[in-house]
Amino acid sequence: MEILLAPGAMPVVDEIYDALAIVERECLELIMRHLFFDCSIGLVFYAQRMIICYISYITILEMIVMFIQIEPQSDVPIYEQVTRQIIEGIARGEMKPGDTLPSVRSLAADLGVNMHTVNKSYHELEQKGIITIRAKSGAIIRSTEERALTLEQFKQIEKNLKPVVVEGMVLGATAEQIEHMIKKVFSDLQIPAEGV
Amino acid sequence: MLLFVFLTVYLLTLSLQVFVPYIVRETTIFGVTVPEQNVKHPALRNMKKHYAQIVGISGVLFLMIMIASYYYLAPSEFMQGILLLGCLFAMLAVSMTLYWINHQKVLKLKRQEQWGLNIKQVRAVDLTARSRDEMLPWPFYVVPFGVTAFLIIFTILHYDQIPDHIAVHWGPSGEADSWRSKTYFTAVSMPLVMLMMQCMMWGVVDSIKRSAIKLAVNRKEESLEDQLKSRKYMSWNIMLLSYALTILFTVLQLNNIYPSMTSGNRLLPIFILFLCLVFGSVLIYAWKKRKLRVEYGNNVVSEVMDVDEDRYWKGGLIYVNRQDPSVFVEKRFGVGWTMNFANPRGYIVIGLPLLILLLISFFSL
Repeated sequence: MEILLAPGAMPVVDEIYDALAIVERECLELIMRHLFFDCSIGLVFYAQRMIICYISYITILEMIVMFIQIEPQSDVPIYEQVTRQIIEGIARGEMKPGDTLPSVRSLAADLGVNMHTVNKSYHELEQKGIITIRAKSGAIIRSTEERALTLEQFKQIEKNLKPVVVEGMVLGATAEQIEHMIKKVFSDLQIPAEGV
Repeated sequence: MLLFVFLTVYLLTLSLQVFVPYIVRETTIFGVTVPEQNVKHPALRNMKKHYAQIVGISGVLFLMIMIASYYYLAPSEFMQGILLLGCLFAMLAVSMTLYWINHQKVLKLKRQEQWGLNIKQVRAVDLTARSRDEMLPWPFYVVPFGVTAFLIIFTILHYDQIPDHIAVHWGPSGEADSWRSKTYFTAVSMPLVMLMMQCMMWGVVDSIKRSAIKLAVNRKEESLEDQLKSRKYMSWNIMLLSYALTILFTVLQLNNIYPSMTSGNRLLPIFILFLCLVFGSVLIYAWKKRKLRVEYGNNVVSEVMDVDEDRYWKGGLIYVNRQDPSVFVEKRFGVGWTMNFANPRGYIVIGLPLLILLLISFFSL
């Protein structure tokens, strides 16, 4: 999700723009001189400028992919699957603080689900303090400082974890095994953890 | 001349019809979703081969009938036109019938062998794909509007100069064969038609842009490239079509204002160029699609497959899915895109300009 500027790309683009500015000025003069007939030339230059803008725009953008996948037939509701996968993507470092998530509309289109589903997921993420939703610029992933763990969040996670751990204990898992499981989660996400 | 135009159209349609099974995704065979694990089933390969052979042979037969009857049987140009059209539709009917038979066969095979019954169905999305979408931005489709506006103003300014009868239809040889008496409305009807077509193209591109970028879950990178490129080429194609239409209509309208400019069939090269451009761009698109096609190995080992959407495809051809917000989806059998008939937005994008277009031609003709 990162915008990388290819080395040396910008100066070239700048030069093109400088050249274009001169061309444009000349072209404007032309139009002023013969108002009607040279309009077509003006249009051609306008089109040319647009094409060059477009080409430079697509060549300087280079991104990292982040895939998520959902199971429509699963028991887990789709919005929760989306939430989990986005959180996992952030944990794995595929999405970085400051990155923007796709708009609700386009993610819904790509997933082939209702817009409300994606909206619900984004609001859940916002509630958890993982993203900020801004009216114009969309859903942005918060930085590590911004999403520093608060006491309530800590308590919430502990509460969510408790039934799972208890279930494991009842079925006979030892404290070490459960600890190992948690460390395994870290190593699956390729985050360094001791003892794995 | 009529024969030449028809032959081009016929041959291009025939070659597309023959190669369609080899152009479309390997995981949808005759409009039926087949899991990657089964795409190499020998029966499927045979079906495709037989389809291509039969359509090819009958296509050539109809071509021979077409040429023979054009020279020996049909006396008037009207009859010739009907014959040529008849051959084209007969060829299409053969390929559609074969498609239908094969569609049923694959469905039956899928049910019998229980393909994909125990495979988990998953839908994959790339969260960054949208920012790499290279479809042309909207100004490219709005520029021709300026030409239209200019043309309307120009026509009104030169209204007195226009002859009393305005050409509204051109025959295949490039000569006008239908005229209407001059009013302000008939004078600008052609630019208005052009405007509606430009609106439609813009609407289609905009809707494709908002439609899903669908990934094949076991070939994410390759299918992502395929999707992004298809969208890009489609947007180029539509832009080309929009510009070509703009040029064609501008020339025709100028011809109405200055009839002496193009006497006889001097317009013919423009019509031919237009035809070549339209069909050529479709062919190039098909060829690109063929190159981008994801190739599957002999035995795919995977526990997941793409979501089976067969129940939303009526007969494998018409897409009706209420849940899907996409307006346009890629065709399953054929080249290009088709509408989601359950999405009202599609009717607005396609239907509204079409309706206005019909109204314009109804009132001006």
